[in-house]
Amino acid sequence: MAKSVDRIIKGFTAVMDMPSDVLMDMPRIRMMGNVELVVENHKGLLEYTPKTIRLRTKTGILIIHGRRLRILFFVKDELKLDGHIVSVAFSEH
Amino acid sequence: MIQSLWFWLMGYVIVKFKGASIECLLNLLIDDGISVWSVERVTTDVIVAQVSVKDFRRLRPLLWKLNIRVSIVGKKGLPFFWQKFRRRQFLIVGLVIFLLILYYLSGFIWFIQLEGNEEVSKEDIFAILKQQGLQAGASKKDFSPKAMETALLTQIDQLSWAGISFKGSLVKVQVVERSTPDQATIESGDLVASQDGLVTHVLTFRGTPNVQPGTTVRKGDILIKGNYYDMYGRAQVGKAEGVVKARVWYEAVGEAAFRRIKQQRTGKTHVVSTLTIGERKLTYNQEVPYAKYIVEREEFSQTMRGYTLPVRFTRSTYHEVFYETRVVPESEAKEMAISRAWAALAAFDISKDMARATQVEEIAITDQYGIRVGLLVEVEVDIAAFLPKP
Repeated sequence: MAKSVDRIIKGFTAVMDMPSDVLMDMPRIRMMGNVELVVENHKGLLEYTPKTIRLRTKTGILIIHGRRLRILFFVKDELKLDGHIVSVAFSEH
Repeated sequence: MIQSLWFWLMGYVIVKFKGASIECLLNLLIDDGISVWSVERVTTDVIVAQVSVKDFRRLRPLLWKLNIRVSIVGKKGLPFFWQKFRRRQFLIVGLVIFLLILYYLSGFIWFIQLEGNEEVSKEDIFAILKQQGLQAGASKKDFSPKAMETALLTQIDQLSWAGISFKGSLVKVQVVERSTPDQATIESGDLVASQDGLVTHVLTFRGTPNVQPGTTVRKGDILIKGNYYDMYGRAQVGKAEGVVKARVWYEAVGEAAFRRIKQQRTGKTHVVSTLTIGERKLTYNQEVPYAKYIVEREEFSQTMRGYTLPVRFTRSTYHEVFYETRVVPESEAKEMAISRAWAALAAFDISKDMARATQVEEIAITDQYGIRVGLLVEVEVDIAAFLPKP
């Protein structure tokens, strides 16, 4: 049921040429080089250590690996971090 | 940037969370609408973060559930700053007093700067300013610059303008002195000949030339008139200026004798020694056996620390001399006479290299012991001399 609704919305946004993060609640990730990263539309912080940050998002778990990671700003649906980012990956679990 | 300024204005605290599942706490916080920033994990169970003062009060109920302890590490922002400041009220009082003193003192004159005076002495100007009440330490309200400028102008004639301006506690006094007009523009007159001569060059700087090259002039003749017409055709009376070169002649006479007497030593000497002790003199060999002689005297005395000893020894050496008369050849005598004539001309600032032409004339002398020559020298000099009109 939920999957079919998603598909309809996806098709709708494609036809209307609208940004999908607005309607589909997808995370929007903005990076500046490998030193700064902003995640909008996250669904909560799962883990925070200076080497790993795990965030729950609509499309799975966002895993950020790096060194000396620091959360600059943390509010509802926005997180800004800096440090030396090595990788950004999505995982299903 | 603006946001961090806002946080600072509202005040924020640096808090330390200690516990196992701090991520859970952070999620709970943002679900409640509490924003945190500068989150940093210090050790595995300690996280340091910054929270606004208002949100910090809402923090406590959430901590109960998760078994996390919280402590305040630091307080930042305007409210805390203000609180600290209120405890030091005397600092504010001091600051206000300082500003008041500064304001009060700025109402006085501290420095006076004088510009533009060259002839008029600094002291004279300052004396008048002081008389008017302007000196270091005077209050600014007490006088008007206008009256002071007038006083300066009326009391010192050499000034043509005076300006007084304030720059904080500095008073700037500027004066302009009356410049005296150039003497040349006041004087008027002609250029006249300073001696007789034949004009060769006329160069006029100002005035009307009265002579041309080739004109023979006598002493006192007008060479360049002071009256002239300027570039607009107006008649002007001014000071004639220019160079008028003329050929002039100088005469001099030189004499030389045909004989020359020369003093010579025979080689014989006689030594007289004298020892002076105080007032007493002891002389040895006093008699001089020569009729004609010259004396060389040597004195020996001892000086100790600026005090001359009363004992003095004098040795006088007498040289016998004879006089030899030498006949000078006529050519040598003539040369001598001419050079003496040149030496006489040197008194008129005439030297040999200035002469355009020279003429030597022998003048007969009745006696046969010498020669006399007349020297006539032609030179070209500037003969223009300024004669001011009365």
